[in-house]
Amino acid sequence: MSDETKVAVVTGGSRGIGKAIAIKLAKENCDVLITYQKDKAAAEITVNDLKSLGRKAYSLQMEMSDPMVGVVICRHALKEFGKIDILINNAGISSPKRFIVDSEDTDWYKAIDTNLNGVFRTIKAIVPHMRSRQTGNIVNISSNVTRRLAPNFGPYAVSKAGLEALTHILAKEEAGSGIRVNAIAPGFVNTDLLQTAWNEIGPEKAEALLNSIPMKRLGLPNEVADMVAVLASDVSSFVTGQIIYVNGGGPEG
Amino acid sequence: MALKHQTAIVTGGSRGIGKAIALHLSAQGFNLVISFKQDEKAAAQVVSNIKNNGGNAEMIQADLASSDSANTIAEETIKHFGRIDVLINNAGVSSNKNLIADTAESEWNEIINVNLHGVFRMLKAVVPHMRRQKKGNIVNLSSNITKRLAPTFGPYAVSKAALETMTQILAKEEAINGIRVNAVAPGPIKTDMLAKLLDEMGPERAKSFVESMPMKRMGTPEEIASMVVMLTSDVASFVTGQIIYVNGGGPGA
Repeated sequence: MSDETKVAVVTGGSRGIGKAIAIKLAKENCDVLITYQKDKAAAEITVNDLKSLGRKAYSLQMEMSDPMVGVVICRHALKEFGKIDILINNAGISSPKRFIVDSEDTDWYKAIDTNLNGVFRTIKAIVPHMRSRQTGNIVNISSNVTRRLAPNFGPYAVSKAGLEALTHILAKEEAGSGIRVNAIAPGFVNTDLLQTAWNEIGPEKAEALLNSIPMKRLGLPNEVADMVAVLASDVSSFVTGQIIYVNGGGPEG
Repeated sequence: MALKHQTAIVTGGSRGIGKAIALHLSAQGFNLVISFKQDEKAAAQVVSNIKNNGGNAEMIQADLASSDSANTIAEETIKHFGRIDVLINNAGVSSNKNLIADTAESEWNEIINVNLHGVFRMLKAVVPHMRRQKKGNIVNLSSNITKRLAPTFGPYAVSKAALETMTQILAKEEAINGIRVNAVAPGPIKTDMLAKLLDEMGPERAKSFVESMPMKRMGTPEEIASMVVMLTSDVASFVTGQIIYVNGGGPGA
């Protein structure tokens, strides 16, 4: 990475994978703005962690379903840091484990509105700024579920598949403006979200899922963060429009 | 950074992308073994370049079309450096621009023999060493052609598509042995091979080809090498069985 200080926005950056990304980018010379939905205490801890790395850091309470989310993030980032080099669209929600046809309307709309429309909103607000500087880097966090396409993951999988299509098209559209757009699709990563999901399915199914991963282990948040940082760096200067699965080799079935 | 005395093999390491990969791996501290088919002078230059920079390198003449060359490469590597940590299957041949149904059987067989069977033989020779070490890293060089699937690229595209399938299955089979297997699929890269191809196309088609790429430029060998070397490092510790396209947002038309 270059010596120049860069500015990164990480949505959902207070915990889990988002926090690991924020910390990795701070180590790579980025000042960081994180958004969080609810957990103010966790966000404050993350901001302190970032500051202790010698970086500027700022947290913002935001709902991705808020129509103004992109505008507000952009305004705060520019006010605090003067520019945005890197946008990591990490914030997302899972959906209750139901068949598509049995999903509540509200759960369906919520998954699409947060995971897909939320990213559309941040992009609408921040890409014009990146265009004006003729440089920018966007990494969207998708999910391995777009390959698994497992029953009961309907709303979530559909929202992430939409996000991947957005990634491919946006990359082609903005390449001429010096903006690269890629996605990382994590498999099973050891986070609170995963522990909750595995508690729901019970120990037997959880073990079967673990054994279905060729590496026979869960990923770590920092293993996802490392790959996100690669995509946000010049190591991948000729890489755009790609979805990179960080999933221990699978599962895909 | 590599541990001291880690060793990497780069097939086809005398020129173009293979040369860039060899130099980049050497800069990371690897001992290098490069194979070359014909251009001994070019290979010798790569070796002396590495040695002048304080690294270790050996070169081996090997035609991957012949069945014993893979064993020779593996044996010579063990003889010189005692171990094999990284294998980059880069050597490959392109095909004449004929329709599939008009392709000479001998040419078809040669392409499949080098680009697919050649890698199979390298794996057979090297994976047993990696299994014993319970650690290893393999990166296969595929091509953007597996997404373009353009007419008159038949034998080449088919050999690379098969190579990608092999990458995905091998990754799952060897994950428990601590061996990661991935592929990088370059788009148009500034090499002698591409220059020749663009010459054949003529200036008008060559220009429209470059214009069809979202980044509107060709990649450099170093931009491929940086992604290949990243995949061999712990940055990619939860990444296996992936095909990563480094194509400027391609595939190009």
